[in-house]
Amino acid sequence: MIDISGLRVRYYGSSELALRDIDLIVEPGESVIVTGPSGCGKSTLALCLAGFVPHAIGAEVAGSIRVCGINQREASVYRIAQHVGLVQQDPEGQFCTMCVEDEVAFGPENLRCSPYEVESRLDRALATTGVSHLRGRKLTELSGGEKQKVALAAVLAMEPDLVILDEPTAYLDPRATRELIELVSRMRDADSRLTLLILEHKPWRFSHALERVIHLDRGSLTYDGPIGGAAFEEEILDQLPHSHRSLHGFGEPLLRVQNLWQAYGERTVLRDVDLEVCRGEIVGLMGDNGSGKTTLLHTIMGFLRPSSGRVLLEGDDITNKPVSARARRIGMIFQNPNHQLFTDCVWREVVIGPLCQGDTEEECRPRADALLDSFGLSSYRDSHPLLLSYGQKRRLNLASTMASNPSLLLLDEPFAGQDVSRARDLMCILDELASEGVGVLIIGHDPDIMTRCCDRILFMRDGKIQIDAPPYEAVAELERRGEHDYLPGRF
Amino acid sequence: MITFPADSDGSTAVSKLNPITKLIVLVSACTVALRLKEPLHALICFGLILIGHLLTKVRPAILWQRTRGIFMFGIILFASQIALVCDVPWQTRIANGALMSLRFLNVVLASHLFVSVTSSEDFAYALMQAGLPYRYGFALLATMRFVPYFKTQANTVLQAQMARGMEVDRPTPKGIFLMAKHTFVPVIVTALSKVDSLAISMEGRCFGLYSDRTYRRRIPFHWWDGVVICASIAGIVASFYLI
Repeated sequence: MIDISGLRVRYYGSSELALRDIDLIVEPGESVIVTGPSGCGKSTLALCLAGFVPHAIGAEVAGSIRVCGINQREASVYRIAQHVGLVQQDPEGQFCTMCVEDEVAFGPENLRCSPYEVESRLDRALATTGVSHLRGRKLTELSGGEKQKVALAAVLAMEPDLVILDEPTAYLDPRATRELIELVSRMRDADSRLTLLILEHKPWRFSHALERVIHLDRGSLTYDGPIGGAAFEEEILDQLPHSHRSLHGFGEPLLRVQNLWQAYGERTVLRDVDLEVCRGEIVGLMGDNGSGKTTLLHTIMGFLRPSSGRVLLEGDDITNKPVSARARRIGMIFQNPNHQLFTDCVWREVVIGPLCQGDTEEECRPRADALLDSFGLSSYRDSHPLLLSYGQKRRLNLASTMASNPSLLLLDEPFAGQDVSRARDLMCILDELASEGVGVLIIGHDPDIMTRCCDRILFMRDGKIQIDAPPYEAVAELERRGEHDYLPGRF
Repeated sequence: MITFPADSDGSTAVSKLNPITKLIVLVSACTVALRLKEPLHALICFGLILIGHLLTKVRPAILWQRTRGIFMFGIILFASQIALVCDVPWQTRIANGALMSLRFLNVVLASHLFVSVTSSEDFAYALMQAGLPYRYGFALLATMRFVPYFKTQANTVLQAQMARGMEVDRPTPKGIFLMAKHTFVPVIVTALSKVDSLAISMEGRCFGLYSDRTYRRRIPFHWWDGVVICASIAGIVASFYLI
């Protein structure tokens, strides 16, 4: 099915090779996981197999690459697309229409299949992915897991020989992740001719469904063998900072949320939420998408006014204070680092918050310089923030938030779509901030990271905090309640 | 806002018209509204458009909530015509003010009615069915699809600004300029990444392989669409002869 020999890829304008001397053979019907840290070349390999590199994305390509006997370097993207289907990481960005049926039928319609053939392909693809019940639904109404299944159905409707899934679980909660893994397993069992290539940071997630794993590192293939022999990112998990702060106890409560209710119209999103975050404590907030986690953070930050209840920070009732008044005491980190980069230079990015809060540039300078130094960004102080790497952008987000010297830090799914080493880097910084007395409330989906690094775990379901306990007790309680998707070591 | 949500559930007579028919009615209504020279005629036109809105079964309270800004601007137009135009009798000022205000209201409310009863997908598919090259039709569809998405992205960026202490929630003129400047770049960066993703997705499913394509979704064109189109064209022709 796949026959790659001596493949080297270098993107135009880059001095680094994205892929170097890759040799790979995948037999028809085989299912393979491609893993490796962010930037290792997984997506480049997928784009080469789907023909987008070099046909749509400019790059120098050397070596040979054949899929289904087609020379990818000579065939057009359209010819390749009839054999290779690529499901991208973020389903939101790849939908071309507005409703489920139109989206799945989009490919066969482009192939000028007869209306009867389009309908039968639509039926088969929806049935295979288990989303026939979503017929007639608007794409905007679907959950993340449902969107990913529809994206997969849309590719399957093209009836490809090779399906590539590029980090399909990146933005899914543990429940949706488990469902997708089960779906992949079913697909493999149902069609022995279908070849699957899954790009994934956490290969062990698919250990029950797939058997062969390929590891890439800096563009080179470093492992090709059974999944049992791979322990790549599990080793990094062991490098995560383990919290020992709770042994010494925490200071007085920094944040107190009391009897908080929040509703959007007639839909109640938060129900009688009570929680506390102490100085120097890292509290992890877990739960399914839609359980109210982000709404809780937004209510604490002041983006939303609660229907009832109180939010107290260091004893002050801030429930009715505007966001601008809270910003000096509460910092917030969003999922996408680009959303919080506003200026055209790193130094200005760090000082813009304090300047908006009334400080002068002279007052900001010492702290901004110290922050740039401690976050390893001093040498980039005049660079454009958007030109930094992902990890540097994340550090800049933290530095610019900490410039206001907040006592509480809120983080909304900062690990989504990131590999474990990036999560480790972020958690190390948070660990240091907590040691300095900053309280941290962080939303995350990865039980391995959350239970290792947090001092306390909150678990939300249907707008209510169901569990509030130290990690080891929270894990036992999650197990007792049958929330197996949230147990560490599962996915 | 141009999200084409098709407010009504599609069960009303107005909603059931073919989107092309609705577009022709809109063009006709706007043409006639702009040609009217008597305030009384403009008022009758205004009444007909309001009846059109009521036929969509949208609750009057919601209709008022959505259109009150339009009405306010209409009143400002009327008042400014009376207050600012000099050397003309009062009656003429009132008549001119009413005509100008009603022309504005008629054109904007007719467009609002069109948006309320037409889903963007049906509109795009109807245009493609009527002969618009499908590349343009899907360009329209993709634009409409991303409007709510980018609205969400812009909202997140505004929240991020607020979290840094920018007074987005109490904007000053300078603050509005800075807010726009600080929102533009992050949203554009996000948009560009989505464009790449969408282009790969579309080409990966053979969009553009042939000059035509199959359409599973058919937008029906009924006999009553023909009647409505003829009536609309007759209305335009009549407006040129009678007004």
